[in-house]
Parts: sequence; structure tokens; C-alpha cells
Amino acid sequence: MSTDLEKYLKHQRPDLDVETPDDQIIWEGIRKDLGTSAARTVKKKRLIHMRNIAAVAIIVLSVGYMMGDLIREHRLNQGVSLARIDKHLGEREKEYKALVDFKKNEVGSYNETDNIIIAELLEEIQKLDTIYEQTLKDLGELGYNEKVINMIFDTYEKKIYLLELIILENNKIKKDETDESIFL
Amino acid sequence: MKETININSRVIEKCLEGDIKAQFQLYKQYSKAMYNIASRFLNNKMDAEDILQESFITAFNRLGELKNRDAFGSWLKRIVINNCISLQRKKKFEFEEIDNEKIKDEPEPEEGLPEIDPAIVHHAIKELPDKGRSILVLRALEGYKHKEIAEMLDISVSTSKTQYSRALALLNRKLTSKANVD
Repeated sequence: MSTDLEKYLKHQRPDLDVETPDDQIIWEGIRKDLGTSAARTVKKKRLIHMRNIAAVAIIVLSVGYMMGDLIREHRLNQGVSLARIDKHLGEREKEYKALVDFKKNEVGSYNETDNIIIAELLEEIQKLDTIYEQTLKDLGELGYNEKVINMIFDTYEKKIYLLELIILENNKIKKDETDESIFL
Repeated sequence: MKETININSRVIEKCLEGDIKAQFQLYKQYSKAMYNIASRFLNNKMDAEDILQESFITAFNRLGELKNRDAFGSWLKRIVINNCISLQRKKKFEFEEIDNEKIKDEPEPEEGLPEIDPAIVHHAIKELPDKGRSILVLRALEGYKHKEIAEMLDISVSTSKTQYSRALALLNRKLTSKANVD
């Protein structure tokens, strides 16, 4: 007998679905939930898109900064320098340059980060470089001038300070990433 | 059949792109069958509706994980059944087993199965005690093996087999009784 019933159930299986769900209410619930998760996805995509734009901007800025640096170096080698005015001033400038290069190398290993603070700091450094170039021109025109020389060293100090801020920011990012991975 | 599979594949592709019309099309195609599975399993209209909604949301959100698009129906069915089992566990269903006494209460079935309306069979299944009903639905209607049922419901294979044969016997008697009344 049970075999007959089993056969019947198997055979009649599609016809046994006699109840009809309340599609209006159920679909409305599904649609609302999917709408919310879709909104979440769109928001996430937008964030990623903005992050990508910021990353590209940073890369462009970094590359621009590096290229500018190379061009400036080239110009300086051909033009006015503190060493040509005074030997001691030249040595002092050499020390500053070495420190700047050292800090730049340290920054260079992290320069792929897409942090907005770092972008602003890089912009500030570019401004300082422009000021530095202008001051060197003034030095060429005016010759030995204490105010101009102080301004040159001032730009070096500010540049070192800004590079240190970038290093600190990079370290902070690295630390946050490590903390996140620990939590994950 | 092949045509349906191809259509499904295209609809699923659109669903993955977030096309709401395609999602509704897929819902309409499967909602009735899935609702009836949940309804037979849980014997509660509101619970069955909740499970249907929850299962479709899960399916749409995890559609990307579906490797074989042709198997959407069975994949969705598994989600529905898993959700039904989870709900039963959450509600701490005290599974009422079918013993021989319950079967004796129903009249002896006649030889062969009388001509019977599927709606009556559907409702007779829903009247079965919880544990036997779940097993009968999974085995006789959804085609799962006793080993799979035992794993799903966290019972032994022998319990699954015993409860299934008792559920089947009880259903048989119920149907005979209903046929005699008519």
C-alpha cells in the first residue's frame, strides 16, 4: 500500500502545490530588502571610485613632484648655488640636501598610499620648491644677501618638517592596517 | 526543458546585473512551488511566507555563488528547506514522533489508492505530526535520501526510515478515511 502511495506522491508531485502565496506582500518585502542592499553596494562602489580617483591624483602629484625635483637639480647644477658664494654656506646646504634626500627616500617607499593628508603635504612641498627656486634667482641677482640666504635655509627646514609629517602619516596608516588585520 | 534552462540562464544573468524585472520573473517562476514546500514543511501560513521571502533574498544576494545556473531550482529549494529546518530549530520544535498507536487510530486502508484530489493529499500531509511530516516531505516529495535527511535533521538514519514509513502509513490511512467520507 505504501508503495502505491509513494508512487502516487511521486507522480502527482507538481499537482500537490495547491497553495498560492501572497505575492504582493512577499515580493514587496524582497524588493525593499534588495533595494537596501543594492543601495549599500552602490555606496560602496562610489567610495571605491572616489578612492581610485584620489589614488590617481596622488600618483600624478608624486610623479610631478619627482620630475620637478629632477629638473630643479639639473637647473641648480648649472646655475647659482650657495657654495659658489661661500664655502661654509655650501657645506651647510649640502648637509640640508643630504637630510632632505634621506627623508625623501623614506617617503618614497610609501608613496603609493592614497591619503588626502599626504596629498596636501606633497602640494606644500611643491610650493616650497617654487619659493626655493625664486629665492635662488634672487640670490643670483642680488649676490650675497643674508635675508635671501636665511630664506633658502628656511625652505630646507620646512621641507624636512613636511617630509617628516608624511613619514608620520604613512606610519599611522601602516599601524591602522595592521590593527585592522589583527581584528580580521 | 532545455529552452527553460536557457531562459533561466539569461534571467539569472540579468538578475546578477541587478535587473529588478528579471528578479521578479524568477520569483514568479518559483514562488508557488517553494511556498508549498515551506507550507507542507512548517504547516503555518505566516512562517511559510516568511521563509519564502527570506529564501529569495538569500538567493538573490548569493546568486553570484551559484556555479551551475541550470540548477537554480534545486539550489533555491535547498535554501528554502535549510531555512525551514533553521526556523524549526529556532522555535525549538518538540518533534512529535509517530508511534504505531497513532496509525491504529486511523481506519485500515483499502487495496490500492482511491482517486483523490491533490489538494486533499496536500492538506493531509500538513496534518501529520511534525517529525514524520518533515521526513515524508523530504523523502517522498523532494527526493532526498535517508542519509541526507538524517544529516539535515540531525537524527539517525534508522529514525528517518522508521518515521518515514510510519508517516506514509498514517497518511495512507488518513487519505482512505477521507475517501470513505466523500
